[in-house]
Order: sequence, then structure tokens, then C-alpha cells
Amino acid sequence: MSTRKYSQTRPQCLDHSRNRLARWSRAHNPLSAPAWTRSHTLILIVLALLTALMLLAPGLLADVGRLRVGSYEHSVMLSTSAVLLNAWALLGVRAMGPGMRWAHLLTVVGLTLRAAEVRMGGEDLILSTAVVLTALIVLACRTIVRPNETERLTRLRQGLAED
Amino acid sequence: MTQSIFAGLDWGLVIYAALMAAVMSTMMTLRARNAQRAAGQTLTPWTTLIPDTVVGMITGTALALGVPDLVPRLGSISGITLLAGAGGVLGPQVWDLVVRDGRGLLVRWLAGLVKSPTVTQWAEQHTATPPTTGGEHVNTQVQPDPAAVPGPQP
Repeated sequence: MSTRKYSQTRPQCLDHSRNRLARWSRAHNPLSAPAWTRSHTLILIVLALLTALMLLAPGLLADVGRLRVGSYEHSVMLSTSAVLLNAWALLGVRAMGPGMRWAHLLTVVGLTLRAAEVRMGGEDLILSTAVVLTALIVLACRTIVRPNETERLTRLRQGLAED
Repeated sequence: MTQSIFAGLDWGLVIYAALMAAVMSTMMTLRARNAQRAAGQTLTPWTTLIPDTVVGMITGTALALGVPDLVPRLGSISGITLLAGAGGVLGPQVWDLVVRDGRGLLVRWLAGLVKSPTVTQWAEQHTATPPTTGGEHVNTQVQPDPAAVPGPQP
């Protein structure tokens, strides 16, 4: 049974790789940026509002950023997750370019420094910290999940050099 | 009544270890499935998430309970959280390695202790490592099923 299934999926996989090639060529054509959708307009408006608030009413925005969203334990847990995931992306997955390697390394170093500071002050989890930590966690997850094309080519080239 | 070893346990930590293990397992499975889809192999089933989460939860809880007794300086909230999270992240990966080649690793390590070339050679001959690097996330069973091969009917 398994043999049949395997052979039946072949054409679909070929389709996948052909689509990927088409997407790649579209992405590398400088004349075709992805279309501007309604969500981009929304993001632009929200960011403009935030910037205006930061410039015109910094006290209000500071109060919003200082909103308490969790206890000290939650703060420690969230930053520990970010450190562990970034360290796993850096040392366990290892599939990234030099830029992302620096980003993960600096994230781990900075969050460890920050964790010591949080511990000395016993700070609760506030909104601004939570948002930044979530962003760092998402970036690490992205690196872990994605076997990217550059990485595949590098490994292919290494394999060819070894043969 | 004797004091249970789970008396000082914070259930939040157990949940945290399980959560970290689940997140890690989800992402490593997604990664393996991406690679398998590109290579045209059959995909890893999602059911491996359950044992990974359980193993990570047990490893993280055990580390958070056991290590602070040995190293008292790790007994702070940061230390215990780090131990639970690291157990959740590394537990399934280490378990994968042990299941895949635990006996070979042990035998080769013991042979290295003896420092005799004959013993080392014997150990290397008798513990061939399977040519995979991804544990159960990499599909190694693409052998044809004998029942599916069409043959002459008796």
C-alpha cells in the first residue's frame, strides 16, 4: 500500500517545486513587489497613530506600555522561553545565514542581561516587554520551522565537495 | 505521614515544561515535514507530538525537582524555570538520540575508556550508526510493503 501511495504523490511534489521556482523568480524580480492590500493600509494607519501618540502624548503611551499583564514568574517564564528557543535555533537547528546568526546570538546575550536586571528588581511582566519578547519568540520559531533554500543549497554544495 | 517529593512542586512549572516541549515538538515536526515535502517523502505524522510532550514534561519536572537539591544556587525562580524549560526543550531530543543509538553510544564510550585499539575497533564494527540525523522526525521506513507488491497469485 505504502509504495502505491508514495508513487502517486510524485507528480504533486513536482508541482510543488515548480510553484516554488515560479515564486522564487517572482520574488527576485525587482519590478514586482507584492500587492498592497487593505491590511497594509490598516498597519500604516495604526503605526502612524502610534508614532503621533509617542510624539504628542508620551505620558499616555508610557502608561499603556507599563500595563501589568503578568506576575514576576510570568516575566521569568516568557524571557526564559525566548532565550531557550533562540539558543535552540542557534545551536540545535543551525540553518541560517550570518545575519540571523548574529540576531539570535545578540538576542540570547541581551535577554540574559535583561533577565538578571529583572531578577534584581523583581519586576512584573509589563505590556511593552511582553510584546518585544513575543516578537523574539516568533522570530526564533520562524528560523526553526523553515528549511530555507539558501541552507539547502549550502548543504548540497558541502555534500558535493565531500564526494 | 511521609512527605511527598511532589509537595514542593509548582504545577505552573510542570505546565510550563509541557508547553515548551509541545512548542518545540510542533516546530521540529513542521521543519521535518517541510523538508520531507520538498524531498517527495511521506510526511511524519502529527501523533509524535503526544509522546514528545509527555517526555518533555517528565524531563522538565524531574530536572526542576532534582537539580536544586544538588545545586542549591539553582533554587531561585529563574533557575527552576530555566531547568524546567531546558528539560522540556532538550528532553525529547535526547530521548530520540538514546532510542536511535543509545546502546552504540554507550558501548563506544566504554570502549574509549579502555584505550585499547582492538576494543575500539570491535566497538565501531558492532555499533553501526543508522544514517539519519533527525530521530523519529526523519522518515527512514520507505521500504516497499511486501503485501502491496503485485505478484503472481497462487
